[in-house]
Amino acid sequence: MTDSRPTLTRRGMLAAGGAAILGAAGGYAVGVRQNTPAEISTAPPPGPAEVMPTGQARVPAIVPFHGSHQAGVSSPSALHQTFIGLDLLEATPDNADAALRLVSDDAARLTQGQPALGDTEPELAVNPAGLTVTVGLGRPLFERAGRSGQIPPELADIPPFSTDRLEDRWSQTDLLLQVGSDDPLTLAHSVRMLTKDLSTLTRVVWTQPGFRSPAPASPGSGATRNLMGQVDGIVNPEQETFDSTVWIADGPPWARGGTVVVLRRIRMHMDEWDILDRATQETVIGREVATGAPLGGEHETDPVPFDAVDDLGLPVIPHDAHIRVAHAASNEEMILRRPYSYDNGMLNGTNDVGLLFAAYMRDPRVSFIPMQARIAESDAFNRWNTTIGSSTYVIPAGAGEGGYVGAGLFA
Amino acid sequence: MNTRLTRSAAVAAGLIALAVGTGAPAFAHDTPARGSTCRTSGMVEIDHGKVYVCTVRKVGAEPTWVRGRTISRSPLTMVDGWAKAADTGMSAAFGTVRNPTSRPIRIVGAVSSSSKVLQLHEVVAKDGSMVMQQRMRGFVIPAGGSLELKPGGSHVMFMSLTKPIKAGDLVPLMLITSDGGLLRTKVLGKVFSGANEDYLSGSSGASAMSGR
Repeated sequence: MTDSRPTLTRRGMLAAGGAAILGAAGGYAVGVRQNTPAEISTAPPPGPAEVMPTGQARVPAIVPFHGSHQAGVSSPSALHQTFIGLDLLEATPDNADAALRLVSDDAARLTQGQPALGDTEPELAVNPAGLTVTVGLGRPLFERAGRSGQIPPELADIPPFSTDRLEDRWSQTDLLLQVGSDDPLTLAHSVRMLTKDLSTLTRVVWTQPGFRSPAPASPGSGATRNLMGQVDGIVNPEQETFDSTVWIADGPPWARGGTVVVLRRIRMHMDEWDILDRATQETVIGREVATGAPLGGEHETDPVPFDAVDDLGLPVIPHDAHIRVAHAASNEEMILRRPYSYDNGMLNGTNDVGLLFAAYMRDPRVSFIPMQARIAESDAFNRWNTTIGSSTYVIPAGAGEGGYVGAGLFA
Repeated sequence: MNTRLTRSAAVAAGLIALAVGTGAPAFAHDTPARGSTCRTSGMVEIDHGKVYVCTVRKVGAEPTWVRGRTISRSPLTMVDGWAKAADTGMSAAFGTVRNPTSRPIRIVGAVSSSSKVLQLHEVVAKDGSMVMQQRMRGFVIPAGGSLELKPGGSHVMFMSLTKPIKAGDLVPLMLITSDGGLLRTKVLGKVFSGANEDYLSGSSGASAMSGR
């Protein structure tokens, strides 16, 4: 190629320039960094390959609140997302219903760039920057609020795994609020409005803020990187299988069109990881760090060559490589991965950082749980990370106009 | 007994039920006579298809019943209605009242099962500070316009809660206009402690607020 300007394929535009496109069309929020064409590497992007299943599209300024599905699952991942775990102070059906009504009332307004009712900082509501508020219901809520009979079978308890070191402070709660926005100030204000409005009904057990980079892992990538430098969130359902992977298809109306989220707080042992040479790191994971390509492949999205062997007859992807152990053998076992990094400051002289592994799926009993069991059993990567928090929630169907998420379940 | 209720009588029956609520306040059971004294301004009586509001006609005068107006459904609407969560004492309701008609409409009173008496209050500047006081002449919603009731501004006050307003509650509220129009709505209870609104318990008059 003699043209010195970078050539943008559709994938490249989706990955990096997509923000500019969406911005022009949708009045994208001022002040959020967008990758301009000049910032894209001058190396020619990969050829017209398949579209990334989760393109690194930037969020539109406004994400609708009402709909058959709650927002925040299939919409592009916001740069900042906080997970809030709450318990009802007094677990009655009326209190659960009141809490759900209040959350949706705030969310329906704030996500559309309107202040909440009684918002004492209305100026902080004007830039939603893709704000989404997603509500999840935990098993304890059903049990404590007299609705055990309504627990969907998909809301299975996640069993403890041998590698877990779960801390009570990150444990299962009645309610989950997942709040995401590209604007961290908007996010903080929304979190405050929601927790303030719920303050007479609930207590906040934990908040888990996370972040993503706006930059794609590499030109044309649909994923971003985690704090170990790895390209993360590569394996996700294709567009054709997204609905069947993620959305609950049967059961009561409040659950249909919902999903189940499993939230795992995974601490990274960065000091031990950084000691390793790159080749060892790549063998542990099964992917190249620089490109995210599976060992033996070239591109991030290449199918993993599980059967490939090297010239010594040894498998290119080792038996205990993370991507082999975590591999979904069928569509049924697929999950939607929307990971976020966390940085919790210093702890015992080292950085307390890691991954908020948020996975969404129709039924964790056939997808997440068997996968995690394999990981606990034999993943080489276990030496360098520890799961310290785990919780799971059913995310109900979306709310129609004038309605609220979870309406009719407790009232 | 005539079992065929006229529409306005049926409405009145429903409204009496709404107005009385669970803790029956001591409303007079005789039709209020125009000009007769009543105990507290803001009190409302609905009787035989007419609505009566206890009001102070002139500054310094005793509250008296205004002439009854035949009740009808008001064309006013209210959106974004909410009320301060409170266990006892006073509280307030806010929201935006819209008038889609071609004539101004005046709100003169309010009723709720959550309080025996409601009043319409405004915040005005007096001698350099902001003062909250009852607005006897009510709120005029301009033709084709709206009025925002908000903390620090005009609002509807629950003078003495008969039951708590809890966060997440949908509190029934009925606004009454000078021509007997009734606007029924529900306002969402919310935790709120902003706008430096200090309600002096037992006070139904002006309270001084520090101006900013």
